[in-house]
Amino acid sequence: MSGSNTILEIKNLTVTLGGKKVLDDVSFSLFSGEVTSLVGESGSGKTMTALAILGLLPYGAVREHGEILFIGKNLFNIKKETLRNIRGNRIAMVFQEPFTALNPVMRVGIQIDETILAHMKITSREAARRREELLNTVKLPPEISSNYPHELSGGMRQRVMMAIALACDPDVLILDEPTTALDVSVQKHILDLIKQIQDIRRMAVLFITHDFSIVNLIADKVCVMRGGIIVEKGTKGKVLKRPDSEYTRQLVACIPRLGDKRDRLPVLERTRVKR
Amino acid sequence: MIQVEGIKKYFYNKTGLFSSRGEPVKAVDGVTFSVPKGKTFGLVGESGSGKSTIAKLVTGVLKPSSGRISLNGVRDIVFQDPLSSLNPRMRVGEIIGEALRIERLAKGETLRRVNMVLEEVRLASPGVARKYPHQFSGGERQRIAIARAIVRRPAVVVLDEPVSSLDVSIQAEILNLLKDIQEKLRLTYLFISHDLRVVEFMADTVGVMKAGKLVEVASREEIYKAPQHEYTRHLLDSIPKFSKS
Repeated sequence: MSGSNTILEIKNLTVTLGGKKVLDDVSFSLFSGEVTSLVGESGSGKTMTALAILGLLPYGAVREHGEILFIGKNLFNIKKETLRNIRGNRIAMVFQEPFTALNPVMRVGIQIDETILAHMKITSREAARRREELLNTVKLPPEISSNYPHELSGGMRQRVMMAIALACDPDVLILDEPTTALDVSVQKHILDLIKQIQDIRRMAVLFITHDFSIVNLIADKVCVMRGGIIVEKGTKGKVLKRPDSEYTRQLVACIPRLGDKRDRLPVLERTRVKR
Repeated sequence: MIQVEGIKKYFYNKTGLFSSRGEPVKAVDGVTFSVPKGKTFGLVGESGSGKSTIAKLVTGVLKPSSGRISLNGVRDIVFQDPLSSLNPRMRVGEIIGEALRIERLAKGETLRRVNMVLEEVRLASPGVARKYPHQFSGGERQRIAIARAIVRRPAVVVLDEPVSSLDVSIQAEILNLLKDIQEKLRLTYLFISHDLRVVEFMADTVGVMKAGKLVEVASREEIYKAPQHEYTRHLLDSIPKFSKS
């Protein structure tokens, strides 16, 4: 799968937490200019995969084997400082809940500047100019720099998060359920914005979601995860229309659609988890 | 059935030392609708449109500033986030049994009713009533919240975003369960959601709320096929769709 524009490659990654496999032989690649969607239910390992890419595996999680190659460099075999320089700079992430991700006692302008100054060798005046560009990119007025996070709506906060993530022109942008907490019309604006930015900047995007209708709107490629395993991967058209895996088919079928004539929704067969 | 006539709920800002009472926030501003017995009224709208205020007015948690609400029989509510709506220090049996306290039943009868309702939400298994909310998954917790809401055999159940925090697969299970229970107990639902797909699946009649007002009320068929209000069309257009295949 290593084409000329492969930017990030996860190879046979297995991670355990307390002896239990949370990621099991996960392999997929991200390509510049493409949106790859990672779909699955809670606990399937989507966020764990994202955290592994960022080198932010939670305490107690152990990489058993496998590697993550970023432009050919194994992220598990580099110095902490190098990784810190890649994270937030070359690989950026937007989290699900924009309110908890922002510092509540700092004005948002300062929070954006902080990221710019941490990664770019520029003066604070240049950083302020860069911040205005970024706010313009995410379609926010420059005045909001002096606001605190609680003064902004959910959609505006998520735009601020995007501005921070885009601060250093990352090669890889990871979005973890960025619109789940938002109203539908706000969700649409954010998704449109992501597509526009993607068209211009040609970065590789990893878009984590549990909603296949969002996948349909935004993704080029899709990976479906279940219980730490990638059960299906392929192009969006293939995975949505002719899935190989029964699990994918069921996951698509259980979502109510507009104009749905079904009286009951199909339910996933699941083996009952012992408690 | 539920009958809501011209209800308004205004909130006033807390008055400072020198400030006057000022302009109220019109959370609900003249809303009228009715839901026949055994049917579902779906209420859609964005955050801040007044949906949850209506939920609180219909359940009697809030008193309307003006207007009339009439319902026949007991009403109960299921909230969006089951983890915060269930007391973490109480066992499931106690949580559901507490709702029955007002009926002053004998202990054995309470137990029997709790077990019956756990059966109805398909959560019955040995020892389940002795567990605490944190020992369950999100979907199971929502089943507990539903059990608590139906244990007194209410006529009306208000469902305030009951599936918004759940995975799509769990969402499907809970929606099916709500339909089954409604048929069995002839319940009248007020179903509140921001997801128009979910509302279309559940509701017989749909009301679209914007800034405290119902801008459109119509049958499910009409509202999705021929939306009249511009705002309804805007909400429908915002939904990401599957490509037609």
